[in-house]
Amino acid sequence: MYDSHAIAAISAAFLASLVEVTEAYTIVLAVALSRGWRSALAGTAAALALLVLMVVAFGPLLSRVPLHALQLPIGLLLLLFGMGWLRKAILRAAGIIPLHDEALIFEQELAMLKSGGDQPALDTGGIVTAFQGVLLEGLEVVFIVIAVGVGRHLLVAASAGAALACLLVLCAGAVIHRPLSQVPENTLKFAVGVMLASFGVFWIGEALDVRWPGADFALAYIAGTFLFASTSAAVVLKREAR
Amino acid sequence: MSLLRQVWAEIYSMFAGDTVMSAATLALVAAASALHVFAPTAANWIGFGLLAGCVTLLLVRVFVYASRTRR
Repeated sequence: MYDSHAIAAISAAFLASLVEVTEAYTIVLAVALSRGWRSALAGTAAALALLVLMVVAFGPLLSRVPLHALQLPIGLLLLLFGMGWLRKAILRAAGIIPLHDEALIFEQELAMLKSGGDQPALDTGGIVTAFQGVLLEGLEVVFIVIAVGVGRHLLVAASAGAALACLLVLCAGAVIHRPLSQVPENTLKFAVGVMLASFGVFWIGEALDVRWPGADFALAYIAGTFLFASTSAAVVLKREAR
Repeated sequence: MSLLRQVWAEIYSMFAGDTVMSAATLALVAAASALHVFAPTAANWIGFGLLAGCVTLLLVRVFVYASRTRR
């Protein structure tokens, strides 16, 4: 059975993957409709292979390092990454920076790719565009999977969470053949930002010998603090904007 | 080279999208580590101090950005 720490780690990997795969899918779909499915799938497969290779190479390597030595650097990276996502999610929720518009991004990508004219069945430009899109969006997922998975031997579980999200998006995409603009990306980013920032604070604390009251349950009240502060900030900023 | 540059830019933006916030977070963690070395008995306070510092920092950066954008 998984404990609360493991469930939080797997959820973070799943939700982050859901957001990033949705964004990558928009680019892959634009490539598929403008340059053909073969190019889109070839670029996607190559990028996915490289991303899996990163997890397979770095995950077990880091697993050999003692947990105490990893807590501070990984905790710091998680904190920086999580606070970055949370900052953007608050600003988007308050309407200060625009929400990620998958439909608009799809149209722009499609127009750019179509301007290249007719292409052969396996087109280099299409392959490279799909490869770049999936690789760049996937980098964040790889980091999250390794960071939340490595400390407590959850690498396989976190990878499975990310893969499940990938499968979900692909199935949805295969059915509707349109950008997945209904996915509440900012809400998901908000949740992932809270989770990662909380993991960061928790892990840094553990590295500094903090005995969190409630042990692993500390993750819940740390996350609650981040969530309360962030949603309050978004509400206040939204009211000020009116 | 263009792909490598894009990968680097992506990794940089993952951790330092807001350079000031990232630098201040690093300073906060460094201060917590220093306190851990010089005042190890206050470990739990360091933990809660770190949490309070991070939340405050996040809110300050969000409100500063918002006020600059609205000007």
